[in-house]
Amino acid sequence: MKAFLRCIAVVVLAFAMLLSLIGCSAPTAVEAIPVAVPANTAVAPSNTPAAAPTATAAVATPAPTATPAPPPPGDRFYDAFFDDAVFVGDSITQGLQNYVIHLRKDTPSLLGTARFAAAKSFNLERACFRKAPSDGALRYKGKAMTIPGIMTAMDVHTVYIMLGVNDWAGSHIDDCIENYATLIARILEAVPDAVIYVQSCTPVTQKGEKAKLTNVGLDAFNVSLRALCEQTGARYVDISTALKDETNCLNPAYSSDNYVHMSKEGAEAWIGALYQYAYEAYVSGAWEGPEERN
Amino acid sequence: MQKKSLSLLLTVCALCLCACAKPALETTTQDAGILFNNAYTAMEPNLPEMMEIPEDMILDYYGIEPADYTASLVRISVDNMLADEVVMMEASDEAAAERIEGLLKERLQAKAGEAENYSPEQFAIISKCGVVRDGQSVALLVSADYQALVDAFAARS
Repeated sequence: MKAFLRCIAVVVLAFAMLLSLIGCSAPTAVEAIPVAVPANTAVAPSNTPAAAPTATAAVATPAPTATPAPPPPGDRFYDAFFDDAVFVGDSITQGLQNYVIHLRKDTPSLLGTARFAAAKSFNLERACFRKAPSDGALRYKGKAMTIPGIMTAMDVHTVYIMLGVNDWAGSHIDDCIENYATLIARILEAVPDAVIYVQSCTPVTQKGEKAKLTNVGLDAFNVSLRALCEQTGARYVDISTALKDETNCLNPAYSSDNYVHMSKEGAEAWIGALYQYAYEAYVSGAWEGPEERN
Repeated sequence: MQKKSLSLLLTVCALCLCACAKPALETTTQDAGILFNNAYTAMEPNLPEMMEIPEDMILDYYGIEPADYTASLVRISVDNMLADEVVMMEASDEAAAERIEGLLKERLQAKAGEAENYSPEQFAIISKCGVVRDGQSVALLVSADYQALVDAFAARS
């Protein structure tokens, strides 16, 4: 009997323990789980005035992309502006040519892939000949050629011209402008899509001025040259200003002979003026910048 | 036995003669380039400041095809108002040497044409200069000291 009662007591106790294990415990407080509660956005029913929007969390919008500033004028970025061009002229351009060839040893991309064709006594009059003159002609691959002939032979469509000093352009402006107009027409006849850059005549030093070659005369010629460009679609490039000193003459430091030809410093100033032109063309949108090179 | 000895002796003599023969003189491209540099070094004291015309401009400048020469040295005056110019070329063969000589003579004529009315002093210098040829080596030499340049070219070694 006692054994029986003991058994029953054990069973009851075991059962109670089992129940407690199962979870008949008092409820405990549930920890709050932080949940981002979205702000209510007011949704206005169609026939009721819109409710004032509730403050929403500020959503950062990306700032508009700032247009990058163009590279400065001296940057190699502008080398490509001069690609596939030829610089033609007289002994003054020959000086530039020599300087560029020399500098390209260290800066191969200077003035892009532009080439040169210049001769000492070349002038506007000779440039207008239908056939290359026998003397003082521009030469390419050992042959005398006209400017259109050189452009065709080189397969270039852009030309930079500087002529006039050998014609005493400042002393008979009308004749020289007429010759320039003829030259531009001849180029366009041979290369209809030619882009023609007409560089201003460069100044002479104060000591180098002669009766037929004065800076006042050259300035007047350059004004007429600019007007001709506007009429013909050619593009005028002012080189002269960058080379002058306060006396309106070629800065002697820029001259190799205290007359009309450029020193290394003068050639640098000339190149600087060309790159300034390229920079302005880019800023104005006239030039889109270098093409992607494969 | 004697015949065999004689044959052997003759064979040995023939071999000795071959060994003693002077080797054929070959001017390699490298040799020509070195000779040109040596000659130019000797010319330099007689020249103003000069600059190199790079090889990829030789065709544009002179019309000389790259296949026509195996070595070259081209220098012009940095001051474009001076006529000084040195062009030395080792032609690929005799026919190329003829072509190069012709083109360099045209170049000299063009220089004279440029200078005749523009710079009488330089025209006078150009008029006394010329193109020299030594086998397949051809040179255009322009300088007030033309003879010194000719001598340096002839003595290149």
